[in-house]
Amino acid sequence: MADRKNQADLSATERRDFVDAVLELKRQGRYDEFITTHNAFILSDTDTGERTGHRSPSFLPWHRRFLLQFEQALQSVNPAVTLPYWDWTVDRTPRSSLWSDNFLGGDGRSGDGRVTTGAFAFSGGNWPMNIRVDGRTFLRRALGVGVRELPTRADVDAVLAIPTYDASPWNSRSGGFRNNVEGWLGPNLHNRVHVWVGGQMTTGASPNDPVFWLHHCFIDKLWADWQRLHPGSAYAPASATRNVIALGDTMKPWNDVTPQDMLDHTQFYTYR
Amino acid sequence: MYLGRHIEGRPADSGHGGHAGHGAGGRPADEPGGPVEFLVRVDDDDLHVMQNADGTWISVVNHYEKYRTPRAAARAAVRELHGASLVPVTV
Ligand SMILES: [Cu+2]
Repeated sequence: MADRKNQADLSATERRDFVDAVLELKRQGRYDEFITTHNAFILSDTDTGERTGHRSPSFLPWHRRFLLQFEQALQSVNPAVTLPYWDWTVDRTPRSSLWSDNFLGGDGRSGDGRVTTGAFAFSGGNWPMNIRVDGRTFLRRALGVGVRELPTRADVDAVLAIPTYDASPWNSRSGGFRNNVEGWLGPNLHNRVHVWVGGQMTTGASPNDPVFWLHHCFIDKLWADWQRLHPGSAYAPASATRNVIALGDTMKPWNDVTPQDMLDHTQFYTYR
Repeated sequence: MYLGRHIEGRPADSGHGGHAGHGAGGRPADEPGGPVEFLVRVDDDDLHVMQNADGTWISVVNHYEKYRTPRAAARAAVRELHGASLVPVTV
């Protein structure tokens, strides 16, 4: 069984293997397909129309499937690689080893926000912005500028304590665990982290920054943590509901996978 | 004008057809009390904006942050763009 580890616990070799596999997917043109898919769902998921990837109950199973597909792509390059997660309640400053030169590289420089260190810096030539919402072709970050603080452990615990998975109207106004973890409501977990990183992470093309995967891996772990805390709580809605994905409905773009299929992550990997 | 950029915005009227304010991949809202469709352009490039169920707005440039009006979302995008032009995203 594959282990997904906290990024802070990776060895130097594991860090290098992860970065190298990501760069190889980019070189092969496979990385950009993930950016395109994510942005297409960002643009089309609306609060009163069809919604699958975001602002809806399937936010968590959709991203779980999306991460699995990316992890499988990485493993086609190097079978030893798994997705690491970023626990931003602990590693909460630009000094974290997450942002070191031998991992994801550092903050953007002042002025234009360009990342100038690490393997994803523009100067390395290995990280072009092919799928982008504006003319800038370099990776950008502005750590802690859009919002000063990352969510705290207390914020996370408050959200994990919510017993209901999701509720009508099944969108960005819903009560429940899903919308609070997504961040449209409550202490703002997932959305806030995108804003804290800044640069491409604030856009629909957010997977341009590889930290996207480590952030969403932690969100995925929080779903697993919530399931363990609330064994009696189930995914909702259980039956057909207009515009959203019920437990047994298939999810686009795959059309062969349902939230039900994604509930038990231990069939794919474990969290360490 | 804002920070040297020309911002234009208007409600999308369904009469013009074709361009429904959601840009590429957009689908019309079909639940009651659906959001207002709005077209925003910055220096003649479309900025994809969307209304949230609570009445606030987001754009494709600042997708994880809410703004009170389409204009506020457009101005936030202009600040974020730092002079760069918007690129239509092909889906
Ligand atoms: Cu996200």
